[in-house]
Amino acid sequence: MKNMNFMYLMDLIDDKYIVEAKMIPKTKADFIGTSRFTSFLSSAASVAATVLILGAIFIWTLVGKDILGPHQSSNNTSSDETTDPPITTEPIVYSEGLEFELNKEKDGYKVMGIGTCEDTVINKSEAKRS
Amino acid sequence: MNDNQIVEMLFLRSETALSSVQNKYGKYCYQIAYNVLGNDSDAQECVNDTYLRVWQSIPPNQPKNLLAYIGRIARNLSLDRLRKNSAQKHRSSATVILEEVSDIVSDGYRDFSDDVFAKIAINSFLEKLPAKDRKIFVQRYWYSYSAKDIAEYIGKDEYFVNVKLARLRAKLKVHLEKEGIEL
Repeated sequence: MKNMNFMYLMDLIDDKYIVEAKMIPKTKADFIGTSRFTSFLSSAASVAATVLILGAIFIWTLVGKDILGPHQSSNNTSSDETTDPPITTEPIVYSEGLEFELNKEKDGYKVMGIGTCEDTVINKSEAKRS
Repeated sequence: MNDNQIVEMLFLRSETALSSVQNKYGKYCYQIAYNVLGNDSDAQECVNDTYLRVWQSIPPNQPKNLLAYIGRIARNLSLDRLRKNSAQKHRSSATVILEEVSDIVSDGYRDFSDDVFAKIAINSFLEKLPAKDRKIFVQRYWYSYSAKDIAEYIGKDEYFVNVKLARLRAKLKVHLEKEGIEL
């Protein structure tokens, strides 16, 4: 460290000159010079807001999957769909009153239950949307 | 709360006075400490030490000018820390000053604290200067603002400030030699 005599000599400057030369604190200093508590509060608020947003997204994702389910959404673009076998144009014919059970391996979509349907002609994509 | 009220509250040992000092002079002290040390954490510690020193020294001291009194404490604490951190690698505005004035400072430590002649010499030098030059001098060598900061503040370029400071240093050197003050 260099000799600091000059800096100590400057300490003898009168108060009136110190007051006269006082500068307005810089913007940077305003920013950095805030108390640590204020800085902590602002940073804590930012972290809390981020956690809340991420938490909300996470919960929304879970609830969306569990409650709505991928088959309830018409706009579902989950990876399940991408693994579906290619849809063929071959029609499936059902008769009125006929009980049937859909089979994934056979028909290419997930089994949802057993029921009846009217005499109609649908293809696999229509069946899936229903 | 004005400065007189703050001092009165300090005499009554009221901690409210200390929070008033923090609110009113916190940024001011930080600016001085940061100019000297060039480091946020060190500057912040110096500011906290300044509050403590104010609390310990008032009373018995009863400063007439609280701004200058607190500024002096912050500056001296910062200079002490700078001297102790002689191995610090980063440059601050104060370390640049020490390089600037190396040609007018001799080797060896001199204690100016009770040197009345030195006090008269430096203040008579300042008194003779035009107010604008005096402000630039004090801003640079007491507050340790960088030439760039001063240039922005007065609306001139950095070169102007550096030339002005070089001339003022040369004048000071002649003045101190004339007054028999050796740095």
